[in-house]
Amino acid sequence: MTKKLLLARSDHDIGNHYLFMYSQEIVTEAEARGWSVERADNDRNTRKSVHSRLSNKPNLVVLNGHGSDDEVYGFKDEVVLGPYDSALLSGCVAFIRACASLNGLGVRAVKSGAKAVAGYRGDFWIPRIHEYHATPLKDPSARPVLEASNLVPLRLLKGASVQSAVEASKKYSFELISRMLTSGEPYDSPSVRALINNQALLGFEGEPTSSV
Amino acid sequence: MDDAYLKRLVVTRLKAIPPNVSFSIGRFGDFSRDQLIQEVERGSSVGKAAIQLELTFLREMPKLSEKIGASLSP
Repeated sequence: MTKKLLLARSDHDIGNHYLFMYSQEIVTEAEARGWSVERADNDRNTRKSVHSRLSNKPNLVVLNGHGSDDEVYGFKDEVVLGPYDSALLSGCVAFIRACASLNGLGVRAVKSGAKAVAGYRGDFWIPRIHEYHATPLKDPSARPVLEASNLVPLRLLKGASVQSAVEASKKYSFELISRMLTSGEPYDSPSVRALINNQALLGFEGEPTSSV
Repeated sequence: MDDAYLKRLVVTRLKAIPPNVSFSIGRFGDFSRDQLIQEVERGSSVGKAAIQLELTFLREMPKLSEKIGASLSP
């Protein structure tokens, strides 16, 4: 049976634009593996549209956007998942790339039947160099940070457990940090800060061996 | 460490970052290096987030050093 990925992303501000562009790697990997991919892009990254797509019970859900302990925001910062929506993730494995949402939403989603939720327990930082505003994929400051984060859903797509996917991301972050600390490249300094912060906040709720 | 010292520490460390770098900080939005320095000095919420980031950096460094040391051990 074909597996289903739901990926939500927007590009209405610069932070979301970076998440949007770097999420393409996840879509490409899923399609290459024969997954059915539902993209909730921009004006489809709304509460109504995301709720409707979640009712199709995707195996893997990837949400990108701003967030808080209890909410994830979609296009133009509309709340797509709020404190009373956690049951919508029932039966799914999810990666929520939104600030702090693992604390509240992630915990409640697992209590409501989600297999596992990976995400961040605080503010997710993305460094960027102004000259790469229009070409985020070439931004040497943002690239390592978002590649390390992308490892979580990419490993999940390859069948890894949520624990193993999170550990792979942390291990890769550590390798990058170790390399950057001796590089002398001035633009590595913001990347190192973001990598250290993000990997410290990355975690999961639910059964560690859960996979898609 | 008092607040004034923490602010001075974070501002000094932020000044070491190239000026054409910005950070997208989740729900707070996008801030250039110099805007972030101003926010730290003002003691705003985002300034406090920047202080938190620096403290995380300092807290995690010894753990990273241990890992690097372990990976170098024969």
